[in-house]
Amino acid sequence: MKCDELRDLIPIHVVDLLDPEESMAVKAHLAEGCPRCAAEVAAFRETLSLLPLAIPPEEPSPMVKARLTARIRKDKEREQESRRAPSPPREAPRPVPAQAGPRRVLAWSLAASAAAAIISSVLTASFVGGRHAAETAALQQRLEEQSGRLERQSEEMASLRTQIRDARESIQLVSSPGVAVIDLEGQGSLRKASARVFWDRSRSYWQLYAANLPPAGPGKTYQLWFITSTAKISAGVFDSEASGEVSLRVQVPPGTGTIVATAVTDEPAGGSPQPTGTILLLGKV
Amino acid sequence: MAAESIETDEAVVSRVAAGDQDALSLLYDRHRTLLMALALRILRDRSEAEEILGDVFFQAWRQAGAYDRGRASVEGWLINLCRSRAIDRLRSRGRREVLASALARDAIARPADGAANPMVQAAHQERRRFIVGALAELGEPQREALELAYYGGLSHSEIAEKLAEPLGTVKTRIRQGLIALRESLGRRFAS
Repeated sequence: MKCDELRDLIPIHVVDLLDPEESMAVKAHLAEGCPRCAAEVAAFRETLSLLPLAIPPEEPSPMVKARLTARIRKDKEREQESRRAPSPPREAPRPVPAQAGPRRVLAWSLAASAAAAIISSVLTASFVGGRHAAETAALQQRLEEQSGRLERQSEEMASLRTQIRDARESIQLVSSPGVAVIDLEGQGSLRKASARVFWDRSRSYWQLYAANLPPAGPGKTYQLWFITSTAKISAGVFDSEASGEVSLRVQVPPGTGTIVATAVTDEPAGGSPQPTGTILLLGKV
Repeated sequence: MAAESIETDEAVVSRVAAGDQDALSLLYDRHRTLLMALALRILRDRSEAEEILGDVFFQAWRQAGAYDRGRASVEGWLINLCRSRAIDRLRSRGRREVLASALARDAIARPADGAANPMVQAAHQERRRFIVGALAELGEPQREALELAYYGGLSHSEIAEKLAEPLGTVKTRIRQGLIALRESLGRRFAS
């Protein structure tokens, strides 16, 4: 199914109200690793999770916390007991306690992989030496391909999540009050380059976006500087994308002093303690 | 007022993952009224909602190590845990009929008694106004269908029956509602 046909189904998919066939089509498409549709799903899920914020808050009885605290204390004790368990029992063996969370998960995953190993060896035994050897090989190859695909998809998903998070943070940053903006202009041969810094003073960090800045080239790097009336302090090194774009976030260390300007210079790879290269971008605060 | 440095939820969850009981207590204090409101909205029964609330934080205690900040905010993670537990409970007890009609009327909930930090409360109120405003921009049929889908735990035929509309119409309303809400929230964030 094509993305455009799926677009309409995604909002219904996130509230689990698709027909079984539609639901399978959407899931299959997402399993193919379509980044656009995965991002749509994530965005709608996030929108949905904001719904409860509209309900007036409700105070639970203090008993809820008291019971929770007692339950956690017991859980911790059990965890400590089961950690001690491998040493020889001093008394008669205890009845098997309910396993603590992480251990139970571990036990399950061990059991699952043991089961997988058994199934796989049984399969292999029944096939090996027989006329099905070729089929086994083909199946194994398919299995490997599938796991490779799965791995790539998880990587893609992880990167998408990071992108969404970054986008959300950027929106928050540029729209929050108390954020100062510093424009940096391209100098000399890089007159076309430009950059803008959003300075979140309350959280002491800079978000820099640059455009038309060609990659620094082999053995070189770009370096950003906080300039105060008495010092030039390195804010970090970076390079640009092939597209000439940069998105960089740096912390303004405490005790930096009053920053009056900022600049980007080109420096040998790894950066320099003090600027040595040409000033490529310059902005006054 | 001097800005206190407030520990982020993410930092609190890492402490929970390391087995810090005080951190869980802090997480509970921060999110209890929101999650209680959500569980109560779904279950319409205070003692069941409180039971779910306890279960959600116990689950958070056990699974804090698996929390993935790239996937959802801590609040979003807790909201999802809470909604799915409450909906499971709702489905298991087979009282959907009663609840759905209660939902459609949208009973008035009691306000919190305000034990939380007033600054935090003010921020929450502000955020609530924000979401309520975005929901108010939706047409009533869209809002109703969307809320029923989110809080009602109904199957698609049940939801159509409840709203006395053909399934296709219900789905269209949910789709339009969700898209409009997303756009409206996006605009509000941007402005």
